[in-house]
Amino acid sequence: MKAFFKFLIEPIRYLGSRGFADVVVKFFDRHEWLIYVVAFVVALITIFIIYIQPAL
Amino acid sequence: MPDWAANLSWQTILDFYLIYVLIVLVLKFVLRNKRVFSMFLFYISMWGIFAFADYLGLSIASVVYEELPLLLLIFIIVIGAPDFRLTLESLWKETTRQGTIIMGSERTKSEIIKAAVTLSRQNIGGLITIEKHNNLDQYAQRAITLNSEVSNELLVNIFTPNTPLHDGAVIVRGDKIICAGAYFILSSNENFEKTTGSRHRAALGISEITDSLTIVVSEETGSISLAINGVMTKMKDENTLNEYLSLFMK
Repeated sequence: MKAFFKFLIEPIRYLGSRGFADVVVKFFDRHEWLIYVVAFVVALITIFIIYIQPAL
Repeated sequence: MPDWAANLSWQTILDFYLIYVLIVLVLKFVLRNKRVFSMFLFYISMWGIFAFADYLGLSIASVVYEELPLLLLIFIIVIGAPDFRLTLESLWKETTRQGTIIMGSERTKSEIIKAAVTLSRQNIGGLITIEKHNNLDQYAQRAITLNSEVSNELLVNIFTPNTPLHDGAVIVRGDKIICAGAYFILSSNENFEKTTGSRHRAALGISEITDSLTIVVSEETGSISLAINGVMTKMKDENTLNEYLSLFMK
């Protein structure tokens, strides 16, 4: 029971943990150019949701 | 022409560009500090979950979705204020780099070394910060302005206990002591021992947010250390200090 309730919150807890953040921050520190790629993809998805998806 | 293409215009391209720039800035900001990034991830994941719940039409979650983002954002900003400040200061480090720098002469260097050695022998605490690219005016403005030539005698006199200027740091720009009694933000680096004194923490603090070099003389042990780029190095002897300063003041 305890494990079940703990498991429910685990994905969010992991995302908010410093260990995961540390890995991501170090990765982008080594490959800074990927920030621009991620931003480009996120901006593209946003444009798709706002402008294109309603017309589909 | 497909239906969706009718929605696209030059405004779409401009919108895309602005969103892209905004996302780059936000990512660059949050990826500077792992604590800020973990708070950002937590916020995004919570927002994502409630947005999905709203999409599914879950009544209670939809109410939370409408109210939660702002409350959570305020909460995170309040909790993470020190980290946000540190992140902004590290951004400031990059944007306030001066094109031209004034470094001290050989005489200034030897006077600083002599002063550090004298302070060390007499177990007098001292904090001498040498400016490089990042301007330290914001700290100097709140300190006691001196604008005097660097000399061993003056430095020792400034740090002599029970004198008005002995607390705080001396800032050196070129061959001048621009001020004394300057206070820096203490480092909260968890990798250092909890017993690290406030003088050493101040030296680390200023070295984390600027490219200056700080010489710290311990009041307790008389040891001389250098703080640069968030790293504290203990000096074995006068020669080591000379080597470090020669490299820095080139």
